[in-house]
Amino acid sequence: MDEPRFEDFAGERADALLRYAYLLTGDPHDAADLVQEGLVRLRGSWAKVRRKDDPESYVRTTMTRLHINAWRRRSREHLTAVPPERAAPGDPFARVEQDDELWRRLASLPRRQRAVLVLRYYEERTDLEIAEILGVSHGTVRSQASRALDKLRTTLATPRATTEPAGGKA
Amino acid sequence: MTTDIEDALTRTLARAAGRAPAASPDLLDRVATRHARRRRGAVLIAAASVITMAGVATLGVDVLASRLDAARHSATSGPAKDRREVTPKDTPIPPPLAKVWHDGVWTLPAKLSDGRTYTPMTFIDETRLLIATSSGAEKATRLLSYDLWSRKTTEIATIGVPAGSAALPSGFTVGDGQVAWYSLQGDGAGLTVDIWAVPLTGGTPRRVTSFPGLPEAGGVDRLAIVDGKVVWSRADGAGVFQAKLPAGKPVKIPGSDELHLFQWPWAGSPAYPDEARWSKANGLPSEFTLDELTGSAGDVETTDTTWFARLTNVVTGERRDAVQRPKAVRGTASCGMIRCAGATDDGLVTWDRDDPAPTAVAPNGGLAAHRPPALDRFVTTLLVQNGRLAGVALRDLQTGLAADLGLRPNKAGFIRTPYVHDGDMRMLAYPLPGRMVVIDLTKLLG
Repeated sequence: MDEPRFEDFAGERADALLRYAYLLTGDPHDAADLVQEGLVRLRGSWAKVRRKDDPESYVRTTMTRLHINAWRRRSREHLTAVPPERAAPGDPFARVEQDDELWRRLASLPRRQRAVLVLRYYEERTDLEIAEILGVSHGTVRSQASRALDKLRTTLATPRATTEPAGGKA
Repeated sequence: MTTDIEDALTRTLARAAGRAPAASPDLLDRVATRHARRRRGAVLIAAASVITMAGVATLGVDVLASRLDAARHSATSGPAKDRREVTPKDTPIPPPLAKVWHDGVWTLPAKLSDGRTYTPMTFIDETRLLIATSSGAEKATRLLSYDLWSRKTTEIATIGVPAGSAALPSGFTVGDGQVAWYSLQGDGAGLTVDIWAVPLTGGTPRRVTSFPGLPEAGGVDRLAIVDGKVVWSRADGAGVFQAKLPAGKPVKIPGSDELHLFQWPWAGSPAYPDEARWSKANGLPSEFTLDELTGSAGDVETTDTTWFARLTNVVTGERRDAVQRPKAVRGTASCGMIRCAGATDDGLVTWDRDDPAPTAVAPNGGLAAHRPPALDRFVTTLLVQNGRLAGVALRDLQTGLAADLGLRPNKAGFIRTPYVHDGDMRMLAYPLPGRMVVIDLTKLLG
């Protein structure tokens, strides 16, 4: 059987990695940069990773840690742009608006807390898996998730005084 | 069982993922280009956290590697926090330190009279150093005063490192006849920072204040003693705080958001990460540590960063911002109170905060440590020969004087370069075989 090629892996998985990076960063440009950096690092370790590990797991872990460990600060500076998807009053899909608000509020979380939520509720990872990815204890994952959820609950219960334009300053 | 907020998160994240950008058609080309550039034998500069002696988290040391392969061997020195690539052009080797500066250069024995190794921490005054010795077996750090003339030591305190400590005592600083430092206890959300102090005349350390730490960043990045209080800044940019000596609650200084302590009362941003905390926070498994070291994210992380480009006097509110830097400067640069330094393709340049017109200092050779020019004058720079790292120079930005510090790569191709103590901006100390060199930069001003 042929050895798996980095180019094949990267070509096939780039879009999925971008989705993950976008959820982590909340910013399309930061997401693109993060994927590129993750792939560069994977490329540098390809010979080792293809033998020992799952490349997808490797690159996702690398991206997650890069992002948490202060890799580029740009996305901290602003809330993330969300296309306007206003639901009409009485619309059965009115919760769409709340979800947009929740997406905005995610930008206010510390990076690690946000990563825990993305891994738990998008990637559907267990807390033990998340602990391994982040390189922290199981207890830390639980406490970070709990804090993040509490913060989101609190902020969602407090309406914002004004409607900020998408992408406005935090 | 899930809650409403958890259901909402699942929905929200799934919808947001649908808005994610598609991969750029040239993504693979970009990856290949960047990967190739990093492999081209560029000089890798890795500023890593290193515990210089067992049991004492103290002077950070920059690890310089001349080859990527060599970088792999440095994993034991701790995860890299920051690196960038520079063109390995050859650099003229300046004269040895002793031929350039006499006053202010102390060559000391490598060990104390009792045979212990030690680490210089900071100057106490003109003739005394604060030093630390430690023993891994005792899990304790001894703080001593070291007389540079008599070479005698005086005990100040012994710091126990209790079980459960998240990091060794760090951030030693001297002022008002006291020495202060901080320690970390606990883990994750339960992390606690304790700030301690003890009189320089000796005694039992007292806890000055405690506050919750930051799971990602420890808690404190810089600490100082001024006017009967301890002042510090938080690693996460939450601001500058103070607590009265001998004990007091942490009080945030108004208007200090996003600022990191520089030299009291000045604080600024962006601040280079605290090495000890960075090391702890990264905590990567070894295979990732290797990649962190060789992956060379630095040309991304450090592009266009000018450390302490912005400064604010947190007492008066006065600002001193370096709004521009010379266009030719690439990679990271760093600013002191007045003067900044950075590298161009043609060599090291300096410029003033309020005037980005560069003055050439030296051909080739980038900054060896991402520290502000100490006393607005002194930086350490790389010496390169035959495309390989050959040594480290101390340079005076004002006079152009330079000296070879005598550091040479080890078998793995590394040099551990010292950097000027954050707190006093005065001490540059480093070990050479069989001796310890301590430089008092204030004596080199001329």
